[in-house]
Amino acid sequence: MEKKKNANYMKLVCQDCFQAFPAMMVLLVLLEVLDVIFVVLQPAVLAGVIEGATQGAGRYLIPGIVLFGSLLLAAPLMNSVYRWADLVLEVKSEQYFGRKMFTFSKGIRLEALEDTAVLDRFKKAERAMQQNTMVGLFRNVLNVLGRVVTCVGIMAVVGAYSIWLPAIALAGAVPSLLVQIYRVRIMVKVRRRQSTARRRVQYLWELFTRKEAVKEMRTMGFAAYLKQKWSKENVALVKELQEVELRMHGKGMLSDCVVNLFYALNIAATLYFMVKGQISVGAFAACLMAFASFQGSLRSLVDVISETFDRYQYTEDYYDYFAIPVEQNGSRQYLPFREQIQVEDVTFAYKGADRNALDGVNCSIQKGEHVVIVGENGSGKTTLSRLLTGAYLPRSGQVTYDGQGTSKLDRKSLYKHISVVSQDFVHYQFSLRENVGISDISRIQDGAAMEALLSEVAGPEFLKDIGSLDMQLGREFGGRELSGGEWQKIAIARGLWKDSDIIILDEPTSALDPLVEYDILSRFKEMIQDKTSVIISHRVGMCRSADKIIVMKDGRVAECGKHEELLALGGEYARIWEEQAKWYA
Amino acid sequence: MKVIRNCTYAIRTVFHYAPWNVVLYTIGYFVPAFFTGLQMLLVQQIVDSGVALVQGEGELRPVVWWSGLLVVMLTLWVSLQKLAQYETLAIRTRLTRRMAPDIADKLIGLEYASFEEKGVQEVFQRMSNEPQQMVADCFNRAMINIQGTMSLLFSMAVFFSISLWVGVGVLLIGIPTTILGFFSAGKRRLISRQSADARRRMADLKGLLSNKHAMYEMKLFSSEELFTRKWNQSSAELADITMREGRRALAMDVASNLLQILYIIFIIFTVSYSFFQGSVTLGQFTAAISGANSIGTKLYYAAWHLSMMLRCALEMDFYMEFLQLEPRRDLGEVENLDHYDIAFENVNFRYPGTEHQILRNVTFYVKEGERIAFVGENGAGKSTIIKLLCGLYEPTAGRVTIGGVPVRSLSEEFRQKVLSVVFQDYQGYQMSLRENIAFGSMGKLDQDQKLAHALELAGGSGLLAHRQGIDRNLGKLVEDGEDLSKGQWQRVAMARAFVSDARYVILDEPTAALDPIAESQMYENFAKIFQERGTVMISHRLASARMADRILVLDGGRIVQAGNHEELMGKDGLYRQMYVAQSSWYQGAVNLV
Repeated sequence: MEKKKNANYMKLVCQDCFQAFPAMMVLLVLLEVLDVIFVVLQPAVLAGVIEGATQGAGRYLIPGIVLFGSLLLAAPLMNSVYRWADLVLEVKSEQYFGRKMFTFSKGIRLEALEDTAVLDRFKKAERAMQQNTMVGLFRNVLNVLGRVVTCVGIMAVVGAYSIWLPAIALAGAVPSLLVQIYRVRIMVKVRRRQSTARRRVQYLWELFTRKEAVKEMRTMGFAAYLKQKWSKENVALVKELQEVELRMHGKGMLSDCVVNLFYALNIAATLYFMVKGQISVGAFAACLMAFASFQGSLRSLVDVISETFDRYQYTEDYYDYFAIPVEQNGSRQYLPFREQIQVEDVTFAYKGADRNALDGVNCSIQKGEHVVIVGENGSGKTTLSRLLTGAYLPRSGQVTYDGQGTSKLDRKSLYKHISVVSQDFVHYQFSLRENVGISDISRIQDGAAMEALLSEVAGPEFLKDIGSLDMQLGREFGGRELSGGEWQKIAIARGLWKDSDIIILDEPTSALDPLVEYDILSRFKEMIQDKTSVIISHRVGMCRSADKIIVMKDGRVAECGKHEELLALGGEYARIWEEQAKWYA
Repeated sequence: MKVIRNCTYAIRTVFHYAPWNVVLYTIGYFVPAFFTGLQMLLVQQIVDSGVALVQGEGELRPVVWWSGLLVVMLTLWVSLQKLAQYETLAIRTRLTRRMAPDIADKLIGLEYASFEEKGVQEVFQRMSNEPQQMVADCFNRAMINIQGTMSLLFSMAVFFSISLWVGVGVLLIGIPTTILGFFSAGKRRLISRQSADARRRMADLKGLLSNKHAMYEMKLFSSEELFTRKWNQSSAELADITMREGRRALAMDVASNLLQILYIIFIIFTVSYSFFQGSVTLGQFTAAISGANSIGTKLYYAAWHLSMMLRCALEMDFYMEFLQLEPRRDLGEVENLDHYDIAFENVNFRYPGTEHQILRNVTFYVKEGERIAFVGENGAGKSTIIKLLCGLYEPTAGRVTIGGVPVRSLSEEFRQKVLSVVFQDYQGYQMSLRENIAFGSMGKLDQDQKLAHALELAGGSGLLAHRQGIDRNLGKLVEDGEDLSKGQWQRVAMARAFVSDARYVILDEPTAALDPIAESQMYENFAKIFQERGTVMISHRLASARMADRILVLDGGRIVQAGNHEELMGKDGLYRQMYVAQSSWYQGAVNLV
């Protein structure tokens, strides 16, 4: 099972790499092959050189030295090529894997983002992407193969002198490799086990640096408690690592002694063969060099193996991100809406929630109506609004525009006619023009229209205060920081910039002081006169003259009607109204 | 200079916290510095005595001796290496155990202003959540460089012993190679600095794509295209910078590689020449040409390690900057007072490093047990008054006192007994519900009854209906934890105020996320529970202000009106304007939609 999984991720990496930069990949393979050849040839050539020197055969000596020298030169030459490849790959892989992720993200289904696990996956994938993991893994695997072939090659070279020599070297290498693989597996396990604790330790530390938390710590006095908690967990983490490492060290030491013992045996054996006259001095020197290379290759093999394991984990993180569900789109083109939106027996549940957010909702909105949805926290107001726009699709039942169900529609064609001002509207760290114009980019260059809209929504002073339409907003990139009220005005302008049939406003003024709120809402009401509008609000005061009030309770429509009707009914709406109005009596 | 300062600081600090580990580490790490050179000498001896043996001029004994020595050295090498590795880890444990708490203390003991200061947040971020590890890294890097230099010098000495020219060659190549490596690393740093802006823009865009609210807007507004355009722009800019500076770094790397090539040719040439002349033995010849490669690699790595050390040392600058931050000055010693009246006397305030005057000549008194409400527009300075009252900031001019004593002269514990605050940006802690409530008064951590009661007063007793009851985990940090909604978190935050017995309860707009019914229940609870105690409330929902004994109206950093609801409604002023605007939603004057 696990084996199969392994093969898959590696395949994905190869596919992506060869698709994105085939020439570079071929180059990497080529370099690795050359590297192997050079390292393996070195001892053989050295033997020739020394042979020539000791037996006075000057004929082979000079070419031998030249050949050996050129082999040595290969390393720095190849290094330069590697450096170049590094640079190109860094740029290309960041572009390729970054874009792949970016493009995918745009299509993720909105509901999926309600799950905080998705954010976690995003962060992990992002980390993998930034560390250039995929190309790194490819190179690691190439390296492992290269080292193995090098070891085998060197064995072949010394094997030509005596079959005993490779046998002894191999016997020494096996325990060291086994110990290393064992070590890596244990470490991976420990690290995985520790990951939750590590996140918690990091979280606790961040609290000490976050101003909102520091403020509370100081005024309430729980810094010492947090510190103790943090310190305890932190120490436990490193202690466990140290203990595992200590346990490994015994085994590691032992296996290294074995490696050295066999190294000694190898030298003794070659010495013996030389004394016996079975091999020449040149061969003896070559063997010494070969053993040193063998040890070096072995050691780097061991290092690369552990790096490969790490990278592999990150690679999994990267590709797992692409398993997040994407938007399913319908094919029917939306026809401009003429009569009514109908919500029929709609239920909806968020993933992992134990109850339905909406549970059999029925209501309708006529074209041109101004509807207010009220209800307590968690009664399903915002969820209902998202189903109205088609951003969420019902689990059962349907939302229809003149009979066309949202799930069968091509959502883009539907979105063209709907605009929103959401509760948690975005403070784009872009220019003012882009902040407003983002709802309809095709007209973004129409400065006159935008200025007119801004002055209507936010008053004539607003644009003058900010400067110009191309002013960068937000502190992140050195732009102008706005107050909550100013951002809110921009969000409303954004909602209105798009020429839509329907506009949905979710809690638009919750963070504003009374005068600003009054100002914004009175302007707003003028501007949406000829659209169909849906306003979601805690403030029942807004409902007095709505064409229709939908009162939500526990995921159902509790009541529906006009202000006077509902007050007369004496139900949920009347209760909410009383609760609020009494403070202003 | 900075680099040397930081490195010495790192070495001193690590030695201070883990002296024995450093000693063992040094042994394990520095003894092998001589082994590369030694290995060359031994190989040379083995070959020479081997040749002598084969040619019938020598004995077997020296060959065996030298070989034996080589094996002993290699074994020792490995063991020492393991020792050094283990000590690295031991140092890390020790620093985590002893140094990290000291760093946390320093952090906890910073003047609050630091946390709001621009740039300091970046310092916190860059010094990472394990600054001790950063210091340890810098220590390691410094040691690697010292050891590397020693090892290199010794190997060179061996070369000198073989041939003067070879030694000179190493020196001639070594210096420029190191310099080139150094500059190439500098170029790479330049890349990361120059591309920081493009990277931040890309991170911002990616942040939007993982933010559900932004995704909602993006889908409805079909603004993918704009995002893609911006992404491509930053991505291309990033690639440009990386390529441009990268090519320069590459040129230096290639140049240093060419030097290495020259050097290898030179060595082979001179050694072969000396060998033919007979001034170098076969063993020396073998050792020199097979060592030529290794010393080239060593030089190359020396430059690399040097640049890594630079990077670590410069990275540590953030930590050094952190150490320079100002310690708290608000930890007075006063522990008892004659009375508990609050007084602001002619208080002016500007945030450090800004020009904008937030408070102008604010003066007011609060009698012990009085209920006060602040109202005013966003940005009028309400929250700033709370920060001053809690002693988080020092007024630019004037005095803030409780019982006649400046708040910053009270001890922290005592201040906690006097004031309990729920801030506008209250935090939901990803820990147990018990801890979340008890943070309001740590002494009650184990008093389940009191904690549950406080939660009930805040209207959140529903949260207790859980398998693990009050010990349930909140937030997604642990697997069995559950995240709460905004409204639920707010109740938890309110419970913190209820669990405290402080004389004053301060509420800074705590009801913004509550629905109307919950909000009015909360107001009624305030009135009931805080009968005995003084309250200071800030809200832009004026209904809450009606319950106050006195309302202070702020405008542009000044107090423009004061009085109770009836008095203020009787005057034509800001308060009445705001009240009328808000209550009009309920009184028929406005037809919104």
